[in-house]
Formats: sequence, C-alpha cells, structure tokens
Amino acid sequence: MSAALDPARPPLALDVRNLSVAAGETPLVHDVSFAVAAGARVSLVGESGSGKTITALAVMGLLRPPVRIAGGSVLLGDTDLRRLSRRQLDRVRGGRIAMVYQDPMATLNPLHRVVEQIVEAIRLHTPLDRRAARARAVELLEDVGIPDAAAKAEAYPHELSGGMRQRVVIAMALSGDPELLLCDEPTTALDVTTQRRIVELLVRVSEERGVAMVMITHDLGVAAGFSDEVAVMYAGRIVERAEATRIYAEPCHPYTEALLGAACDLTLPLERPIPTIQGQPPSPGELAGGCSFHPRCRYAQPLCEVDRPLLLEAAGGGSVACHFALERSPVAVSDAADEVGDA
Amino acid sequence: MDEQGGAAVAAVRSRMRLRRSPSLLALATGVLGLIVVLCLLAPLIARHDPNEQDPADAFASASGAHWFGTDDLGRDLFSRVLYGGRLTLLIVAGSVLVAFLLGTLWGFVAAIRRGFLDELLMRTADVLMAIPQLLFALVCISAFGASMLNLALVIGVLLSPTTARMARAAALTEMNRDYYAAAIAYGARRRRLLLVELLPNTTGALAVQAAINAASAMILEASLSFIGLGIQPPDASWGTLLQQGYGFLYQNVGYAIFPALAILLTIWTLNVLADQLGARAGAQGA
Amino acid sequence: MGRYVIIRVATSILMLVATSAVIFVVLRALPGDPVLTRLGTTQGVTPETIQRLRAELGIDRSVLAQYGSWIGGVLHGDLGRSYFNDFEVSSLVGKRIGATLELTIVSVLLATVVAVPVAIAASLRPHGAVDRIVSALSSLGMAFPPFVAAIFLLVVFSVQLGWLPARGFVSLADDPAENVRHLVLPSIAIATVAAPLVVRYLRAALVDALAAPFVRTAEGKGVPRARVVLHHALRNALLPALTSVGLIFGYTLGGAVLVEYVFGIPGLGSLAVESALKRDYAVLQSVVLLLCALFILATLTVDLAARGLDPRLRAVHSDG
Repeated sequence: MSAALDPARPPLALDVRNLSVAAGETPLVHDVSFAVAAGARVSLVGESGSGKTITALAVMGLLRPPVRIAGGSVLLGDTDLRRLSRRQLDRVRGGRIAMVYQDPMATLNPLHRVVEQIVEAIRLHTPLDRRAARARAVELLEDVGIPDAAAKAEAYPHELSGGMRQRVVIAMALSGDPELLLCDEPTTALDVTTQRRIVELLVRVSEERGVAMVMITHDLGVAAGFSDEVAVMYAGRIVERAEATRIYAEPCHPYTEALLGAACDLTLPLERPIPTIQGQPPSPGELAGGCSFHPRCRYAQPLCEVDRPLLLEAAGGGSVACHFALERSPVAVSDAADEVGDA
Repeated sequence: MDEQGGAAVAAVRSRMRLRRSPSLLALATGVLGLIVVLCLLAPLIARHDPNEQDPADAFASASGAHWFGTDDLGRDLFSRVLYGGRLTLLIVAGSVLVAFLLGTLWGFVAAIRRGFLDELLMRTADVLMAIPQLLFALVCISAFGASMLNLALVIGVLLSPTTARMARAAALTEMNRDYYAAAIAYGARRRRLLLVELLPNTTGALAVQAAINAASAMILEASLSFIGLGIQPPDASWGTLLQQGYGFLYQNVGYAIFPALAILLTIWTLNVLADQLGARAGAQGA
Repeated sequence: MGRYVIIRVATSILMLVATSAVIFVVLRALPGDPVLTRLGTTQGVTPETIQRLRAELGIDRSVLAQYGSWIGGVLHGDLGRSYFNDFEVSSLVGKRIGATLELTIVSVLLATVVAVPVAIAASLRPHGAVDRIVSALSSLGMAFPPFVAAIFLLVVFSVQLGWLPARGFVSLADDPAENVRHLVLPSIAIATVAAPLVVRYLRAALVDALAAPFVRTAEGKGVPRARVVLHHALRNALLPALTSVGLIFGYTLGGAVLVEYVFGIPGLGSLAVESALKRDYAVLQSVVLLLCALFILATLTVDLAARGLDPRLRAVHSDG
C-alpha cells in the first residue's frame, strides 16, 4: 500500500521551516524551507558549497561543532527533531529517518563485515535476535539488487565494487523501515551506468515502500529522473522551487536557467563553446550584498546589488527569489508572498 | 622498521594539531634560559665552593645558609647543583652539536644522492636505531671510557641516526620546491645546494630535532652518570649528584630531589620547546 | 600476506645480525685488555701466563674468528662465558630474564590500562578542557626519565610512607603477593613515561577516527554515543596506534634497565649495567644482543599483528 494512501501516516513526511545553519558566526544556510509529502520525492539541487549537504546533515542532527543549527524548525511527521535528546534522536535516526551518503567507501566502516554493519542497524530499531537479524540483512541486500547476497554479505567493504557498496548503504538505510530517506549525492562517486541503476533503485524503493525521499545533487539530470519537485539552492538559500517538469521547461531564476544552459548538450556543433556560468560560487563568509547571485547573473540590474529578493510564490506554482523573474517569465509573480523573513 | 619510528614521532607532532601557545613557549624558553644562565654564572652566584667539605654539617636540610641543604660530606648542595649543571649542560650542548653535524650531513647526503647510497645510509641508521639508546650508550662508554669528550661524542653519535632521518625528510620536502629546482637549473654544485639552499630552509625542522635531541641527551647523560658510567667524582653532573643522593635517601631527601628537579625541569622545558616549535614548523611546512 | 611475513621476518633477522656486528665491533675496538683488567696488575705475571689466559678466554684470535665463534655459540644457545667468574652467560640470563619480562609486560599493561580511557576522554573534544589537561600532564610525565620517577616514588612511598619495599624482587612462583608488592613502584616508574606516549599516539588516532565519515554513518544509524566511540572509532584507531607500541616497547626496555638498577631487581637490565661497569664484555655483548632481539621481536610482532588485524591488508588477492 502506498504511503500516500495510508491514513495513519501524516501528510507531510518532512517539514523544514526557516532553517538556518551557521559555523560559529558565519552563516552557511539561511532561511531554508521545504516540505516533502509522505511517499513523495524532492530534489535539492546546487553547486558544491551551496549548502545542500549541510541542510541534510542539519535535518539528521549530524552537525558537528562549530557548525550548528542557528534557527528554524525541522518536523519529521509530527516530531520536532530539534527538541529531541541524544537518546531520543538515536531512536529516530536509522529508524524513521535515514541517510545515504556520498562516498560509500568512506562511509562504511572498513573493519566490519557488511552484514555486521547492517545487523547493527537492524538491531538498533527492531527487536530481532542475531540470527533473525542476519537473515533480514541478507533479505535487504537482495531487495537492493545485490546478486549472491548471502555470500556478499560476509565481505568487507573494500572487497565490493562501488555500486555494490552504495547498495549496501541503501540497504542499511532501509533496514529501519524509514518514513524518509535523505540521499546526499549518492551517485557522484560512481560511473554513469551505475548511477542510473542506483537512481532507478531508489525510485523503485520509494514507490514500493512508500518512502519519502530527498535527493541532494548537483546534477539536474539526476534530479529530473528522480523527483516530482525540485528546489534549487545557491549560497545557502533556496532560489527557486518548482515542479520538476516546469523547472525544465521554464526556469524562472537566472541561476536555474544558467544551470540548465550549462548542461553539456552533445548534439551541438563542436565549435560552440560549452556554456558555463562565469565566476565562482561565493564562500560563506563573503556573500555579496543584495542578491547573492548578482555578480554572476546575466540579467543583473543595479537593484540586485542592494536589495535581496525574497522567495515569493509564482502564479504557476512554485516560488522564486528574483526581482525580475516576472519580466522574463510569462508567469506572473503574485504578491501573496510566502513570507520568508530576513536572515 | 624505523621509517615508522622517526616518521611516526614527526607525524604525531604535527598531527596533534597542538594548540600554538605563545605564552607556553615564552614560559618554557624563559625557564630554560634561567637555568642555563644560573649554571653559567655559578661562580658568581654560588656562595660556597662546591667541593668545600664540612662533615660536621652533613645532611643539613634546606636553610638560609644552604638553600638546598648539604650532602654527606657537608658540601653545599645548591652550589653543587649549579656547578653540576654546567657539566651536564656542556655535555648536552656538545652532544647536540655532534648529532647536528653528523646527522644533518648524513641525512642531506642521503637525500641528495638518493639511490644506493641513500639506501645504505638509511639502512645503517635503521640498524643503529634498533638498539635501545641507553643500552648502546652503556656498551660504548663501557668500551671507550667515561670522559666528558667521550660522553658528548658517544651521545651525539647515538642521536645522529634519528637526526639523519629527520634531516633527510626535511631535505626531501625542500627539494620538491621550485627554488631548489631553480638552483639546480642555474648549475649549483652539491656543496652549494647543501649549505645555501637546503640548510637555511630546513632550520625549522632541525631546530625541533635539536630540542628533542637535547632532551634525549639529558636523559642519557643523567642515566649514565647515575650508574657510574658518566661524570666521575669528585666532578659531579646532575646525574652523579642523583646517584650520590640515591645512596642517602633516608638521611637527606633533598640530596636526590634537587638534582632530580633540575633534570626534570630542563627536560620538560625542552619538550615543550620541541612541541611548540614543531607546531609552528608544521603549520608552515608542506 | 604470507610473502610479507617472510620478508619482514627476514629483514628482522638481518637487522639482528647487523646489530650483533655493531655491538661486537664497538666492544672489540677498545684498546683495553680483559685479561689485564681481570688480573688487576701485570706485576709478577709472566707473558706466557698472560698468553695462556688470553687463549683460555679466546681473545688471542682474530676479531672475525671471535665474532664467528660468539655468533655460532649464540645460535646453539651458548651465550659465552663471563670473563670474571666463569659462569655461563646463558645460565645467568636464564635466572634473570623472568624478572625483566615480568617488569616490562606489567609496565606496558599498566601504561595501556591507564592511557586508553585517558586518550578516549581527551579525543572526544579536541582542545577542550579535558584535552588540555591531559596534554599538560602528558608533557609532564614525559619529562621524567624512568629512574628519576623511580627515585621520587621511592622517596614518597618507601622512605616517607613506608608502604612499599624499596628494593628487591620476589618471583611470581615463590610468593605472588610479595611479587606484586615489589613490582608496583618499578612498573609505575616506567609507566610514567610510557603512558603519556601511548596517550599521544592513541589520541591522535582517535581524533582522526572520530572525524572519519563512517563515524557519521554510525551516528546516522542511531548508534548510541558510547558504542560509536568504542566499537567504531576505537577499533579503527587501534590499528595505527598499535604500530607505535613497538616504539614504546623500545623506550620501556631502555627505562627498565635503570629502573631494575634503582630497585635492585635482578633482571637483564641490571645484569647489563653490572657487566658494563665491570667491563665483563662477554656477558655484556650477549645480554645487549638479547635485549635488542627482544626489541626487534616486539616490533615485528606488533607490525604483523597490525597487518593481520586490518582486513584491507590481509587479503592480497581479493575478487572485487
């Protein structure tokens, strides 16, 4: 039964509101809000340094000093994750909410066999004895598409290929039957064919088990194939949020437009230079005044330097943070604003 | 095997990401400087002749007349500690110098020549480092006799393999840099490379090693003198004093404690120096 | 892995041989003459007698021949004969090796038992209050040459308080309680310098391990903090820290020599000191060789163990 139809499940798997993260005094993520419906899939897209990974870690409560949550709320279903003690958080993590990380070689303990690591996750959240847990672990490995699961389970991480390691991490994340799965660039460390397979696996898992998912990626292509809704992040803020189909057809924010343009189109003649976004993303301490994207924006106007645009709803659905989105996009920006406060 | 040894020590020093503490560095330098100055100025400071005996006043405790008390022959311990410090520090300085000259040359030559000579030199270093230092010192001094010169030479030679490894590593780092390649392109000969290019640029690492060596030299000299293979009576280094005091623990505890404290304080300041200098060098290093 | 073991063992043996050569050369390079030392004087002794004595001791042959016969003997368990009292070195060693082994092992164990929790506490918050205190104490501990620590301990616990014996040794077999009483101060003396070393290495390894991605994964799974630190981080930190234990063993052996001397423990260390003082080179060379062998053996064992415990290094051939 799909989670979306399950009346026992609350409508929103994850509700992040006005989340801010800072390292000491330096803000890293400002005022980020997004929600994931039960069983739905959302992508968080941006370059490295945009704050997307930190956002995910903040949701999981995995930030380490001096990085800390500076404001906002994170609701998992109806549980306020920020109010939980370490012990309560330990019960939720790995159980109701789980995360898949970027580099599976580094994120698996090199000294423990794969099956031990999954069994550890299982036994933390379900009352099974060792044997039953082992059997369940092998089952999970089969579910994620590892051939010869029983044998592979006894392997150490370094003995498996990259794709298989990532499947192990996914199996481990699914072991607690989570409501929500965060996937931080799960395919970046893998080759292209394996990337596709992993994304397909995640989609399948989401649909079969009704697990809501947040995919964090810099790759718009991956986001497209994966989610219903896309949020684009730049310099620690969400600059545009829209349904996946619309964002590709009609990007509102100049950054999204530039990202799409920067996607390498192999059908173009070779003499055409590959479009890139000139400049570099700003580092957390040196944000430009006004709109943080304006130094690199082709449409920048004097206003952009002074006045930071708010994330406002667009009439066609979704929201965008740009003063001039109205002029470039056929969709009118309504004044019924999704008021997001200043950082 | 001791690729791990020397490298491990160096690695730990830099990996420790030691909090650079200028105040601690200042404190340690100050204390060390004070100790050195006091010992050097012994003839001016000491109120008694260190060899002047007064058997009637043997084993006196610390008092206004005798700041550290007296020993079994009534000699003033404060003066003996001061004069003893001169001997100890002299030997330590000598060993550090020997280790520096020998070890740096050893390590630099190995780094510059590479190939078979490098292998040979470093394997030799490994073999020498496989013998625990004190034991080796024991063997050498037993064989060659205990004079100040011998002590400085033997301890210096003992400390040179580790110095060589450190010098070689530091040299290799510098040899990777552009200025070195430029020097070679300009046709610099080996001696010039050694003295003008490598040496000035490795002073950081070499200074750290010197501090470590000084601490090791102190321990070795004190150990040797303590068992009677070091400075012989009537001369007395801190180790010799310690040995004499050890025989009279029940009579006057200060006899042993004061030289012990002197040794302790000096080693501690040298260790702190090595750590702090290492933290700085590590921050600037590759 | 098998190949590695063979290579390492072979290297160690070569090391030992080279070490023996170095020891031998140093002792034979001296101008002195053991016969003269033993006799004390040449008054009234004919050259023939001296020749005869030298032949008896075997020192009239070439250096190479002497080295050969020494090594040959060692390989057969014959460590030579004392110049002074005709005792067989092997029997001297046999009587005294137990004490040294016991002292060294107990000291290293003590240092480890103290150091592990301290290192863990310090690594949890690098540069925090606990870490800085630990660092300062370690610094202080490392400034104590073991025999100086021994003297301080003696002064406090034997002279002033009279709780523990100042000298002597009772073997484990004879009287376990007394054995322990006599070992307490010596092992603390050695641990004073060994424990801070272990703390430094282990703390560094732990800080690295705690910062590693797989620790974050464990936390993300909901693993409680204690288990994260002990089961995940510590296990991974022990491997790099283990390789430094060999080094510490070297320090311990060196420290044990003097500590045995201070406490009057009849071990190999004090035997080395006594024979060095008496210029009894026959005993000295074999004892020092033996101690070096122990050191090389310890380093070898630790190195192989570290490799054996790391699954990444165990399998040379693995199918991906």
